[in-house]
Amino acid sequence: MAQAPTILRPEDMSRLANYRFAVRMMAEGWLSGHHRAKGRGSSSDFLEYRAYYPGDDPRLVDWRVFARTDKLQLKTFENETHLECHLFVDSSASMGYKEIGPISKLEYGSHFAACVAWLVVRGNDRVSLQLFDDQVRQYLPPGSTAAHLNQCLNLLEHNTAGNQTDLPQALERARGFVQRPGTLVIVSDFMCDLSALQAALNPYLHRGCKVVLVQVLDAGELSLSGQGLSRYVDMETGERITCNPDDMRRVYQEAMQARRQQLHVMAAARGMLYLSARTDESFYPLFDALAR
Amino acid sequence: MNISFDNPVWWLMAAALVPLLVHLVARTRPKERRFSSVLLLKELVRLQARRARPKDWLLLLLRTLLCACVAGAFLLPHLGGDAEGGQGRTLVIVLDDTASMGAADGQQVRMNRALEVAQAAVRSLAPADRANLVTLSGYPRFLFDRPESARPLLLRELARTQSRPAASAGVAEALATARRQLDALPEVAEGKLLLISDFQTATMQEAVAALAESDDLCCVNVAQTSAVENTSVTSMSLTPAKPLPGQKVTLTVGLQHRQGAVAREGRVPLSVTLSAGNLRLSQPCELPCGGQTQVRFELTAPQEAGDWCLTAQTEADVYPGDNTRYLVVPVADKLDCLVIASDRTHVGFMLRALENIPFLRTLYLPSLPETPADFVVWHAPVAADVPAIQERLAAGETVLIVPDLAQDTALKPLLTGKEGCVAGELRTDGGYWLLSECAVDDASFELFEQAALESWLQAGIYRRLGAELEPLAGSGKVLMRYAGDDGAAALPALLRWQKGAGTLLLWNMPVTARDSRQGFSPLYLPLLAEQLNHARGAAVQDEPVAGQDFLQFLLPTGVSAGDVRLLNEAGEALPLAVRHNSLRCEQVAMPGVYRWMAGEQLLRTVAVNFPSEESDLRSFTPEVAGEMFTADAAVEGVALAARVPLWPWLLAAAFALFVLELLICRSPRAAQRTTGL
Repeated sequence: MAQAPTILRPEDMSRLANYRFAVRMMAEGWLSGHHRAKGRGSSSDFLEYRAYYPGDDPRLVDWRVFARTDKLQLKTFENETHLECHLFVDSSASMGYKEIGPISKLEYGSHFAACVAWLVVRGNDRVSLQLFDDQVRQYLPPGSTAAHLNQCLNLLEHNTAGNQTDLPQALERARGFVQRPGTLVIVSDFMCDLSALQAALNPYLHRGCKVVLVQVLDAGELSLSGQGLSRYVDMETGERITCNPDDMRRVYQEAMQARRQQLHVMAAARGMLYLSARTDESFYPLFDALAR
Repeated sequence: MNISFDNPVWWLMAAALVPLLVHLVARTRPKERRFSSVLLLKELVRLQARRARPKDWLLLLLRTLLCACVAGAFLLPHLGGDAEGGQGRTLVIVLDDTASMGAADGQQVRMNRALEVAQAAVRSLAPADRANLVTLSGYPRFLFDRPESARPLLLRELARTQSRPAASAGVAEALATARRQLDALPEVAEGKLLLISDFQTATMQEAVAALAESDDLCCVNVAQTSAVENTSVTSMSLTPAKPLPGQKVTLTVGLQHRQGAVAREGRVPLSVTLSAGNLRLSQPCELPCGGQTQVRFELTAPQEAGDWCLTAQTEADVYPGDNTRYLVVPVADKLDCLVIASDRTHVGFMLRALENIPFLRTLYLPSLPETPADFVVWHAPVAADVPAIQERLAAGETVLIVPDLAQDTALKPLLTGKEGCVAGELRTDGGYWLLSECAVDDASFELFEQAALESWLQAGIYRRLGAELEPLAGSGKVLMRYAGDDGAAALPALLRWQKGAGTLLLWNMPVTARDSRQGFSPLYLPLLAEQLNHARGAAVQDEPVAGQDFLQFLLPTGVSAGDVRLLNEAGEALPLAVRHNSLRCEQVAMPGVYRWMAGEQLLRTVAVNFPSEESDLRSFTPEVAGEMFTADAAVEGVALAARVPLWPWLLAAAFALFVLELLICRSPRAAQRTTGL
């Protein structure tokens, strides 16, 4: 008997029980659901009156209006459909970094992604999962069943840090898997060229996808941990660089802050949601931001 | 201008590599850390390095220069001073450190100025140059056997050098030796002789010829004036020189005044203070300017035998060294008297009288021994004995000659230096000669009244030297004469000559009962004793020469060398060296009173006096010395290029570099330019 995945902890579920995964967008689903969608639907919320055109469903004709005005008017209601959430979890080698935080960035991101998947499935929405580094390593198509959620959690639990990261290329390749607009939740450290990232996200945005950028960083990355002359080895490329962190710390912190600011500005400019998390802090506040 | 190094320890310059070595050796192995992405870090390091690398190189350069400056300062570099390039020069400094250099011309002591000139000359030497130092006090002392490149040693020796209360006995010898040292140099080398002195006339007179001949001699006259007014105690003598206990004696103190550069007339009031044991006497006197005078003190010798130390002192002046003089007089309870005769009977009653004089220790000997004595009574000396007699007289002894009354051969050589004899006379006609008169004013007759002497004068004498004696009397004092008979000249019977420090007595009277009846006179013994007593001169024994001699002491029997100490006036023991059966002080004698002690027993007292020739502070004037030197020209004539010490500047530069390095290290960093990728 397969062991139940432990990546989704009971305390997380208990804590997030009152949350509902929702994004401020019109969903474009094909199943009836809880989310507002473009077009008219069969929900109980009135949308508008419009003139009847041949071909329209005669059941939608408001006969009372016809009786008063002798014109065929259709009473339309809002369409409510399901939501598709596409989880992109960066599984590159750099996500395996753990310095100050209790867990690595990958573990932190996986926990976060598991919680999001659970929230999505609990809301009868569909969730897909892509684990990528320089290419898409694992892809799980959208699904909303418990079995699908279990599959997601299994993938996340057994996810390990892989090769070099190439987020723009991974997004490029994953574009084919996203068949209709939904919510893209990208969990990464975003150690990539931001202009390339922006270029890779543009197609998703044009298709009406809502993009949430979740940057996971270790506190050691933010403050450049270490003392004395140190040789830093890149976990992805193996590149080495020697410097004295005591001399570099202030400059590095300023540069890192500027980079996060840059990412934030880029996200805001394109209507994306930017969230930043530290592995030594809880990710629950992120759900507050997501639920807003 | 050349840079020369006094301390050529070139390996010190390797200290300049210390920062580089520290950079290479002390580099810590960096700790390896895995990092998520060095992309951002790489860019920052690149930007940082662009800014930090020039600064690091600058710091390394500054630290290297700092170490080089400090190391360079230890090499004691000088700018200039080696005009001959690599060929070292030789300088022999003849430094006059005699007593006259202690005189003060105005505000400055001559010796201080001499040392300044000498030190300046030594400091101006390059490391390749060689030098030697000769001091003149006492006898020439060369610091090295030959000129050496040892500037620090020379400077240390100069710092220790001071004027010594001694004269110089070898200026010409010192110059000649220095000249030989210079002549021994290779032909290409340049030698120079630097004579620094006050050119005191008394000291330098002998060296004038040597000074005039030298073309490579540079003379520096440190005397500011040609003469310094000075008063000195020049001599002390006691009469008799060897008093008996309780005897009245006369101390004569000689004083001299020397004019300064400006002669003056009149008299200088002085007081002379005499210290003799517990006795202190003071006597005023007036010393004629530029003249001499004597002050006499009447004293009574101590009641106990032993060395009697007398100190005469005048008021101190600008040259106080010569205002004190010492005299050590032996007070003896018995005086030695040697009677030399071929047979005891030849000296008859005179020997008997001598043996009965209480203060005499009479010893009869057939020939003259080497032991010294106070009196020598010599019967019938011959011409061959004259050198021995002269030697005794030169030693300050009193020699009483009883001539061979038949024919004497010693008197003429002794008194005139020519050979010859004096024939004697024998009264065979039944008569005898009488003495007619005495020099009653002489102190030797002070005890006797004229009446009492009559019996002595009337005693009959049958044998005497004849008329040839009269012309030999010369400067001698006739104390007794024969009565002239038949109009003939009265011949001297007793004569006394002062011969240097000694006294010669001629007893032209028989000393045997066969030829005279004087022996029966009760006056014979006291008269003979008085004549001997008053014949003793003011001779003093040789005393060590200050600055030249070493105090020596012949160990008496029964005294161990280890028990003997030599104490100076302050009671400090001086180092001694044992040489056979004598002790010698390892230090040159300096003016003062010294006591040889065996435990608490005083063995001997020795006085060393200031050399009187050093009291003459007249210096050569340019007129006297011609073009030989002038004071200012001489200083310039050292012709040694001035050397500018560079090490203080190097230390200052090192300090400035250190401050600059601190400023660079601690300067606030420029605002870091943030970068994005």
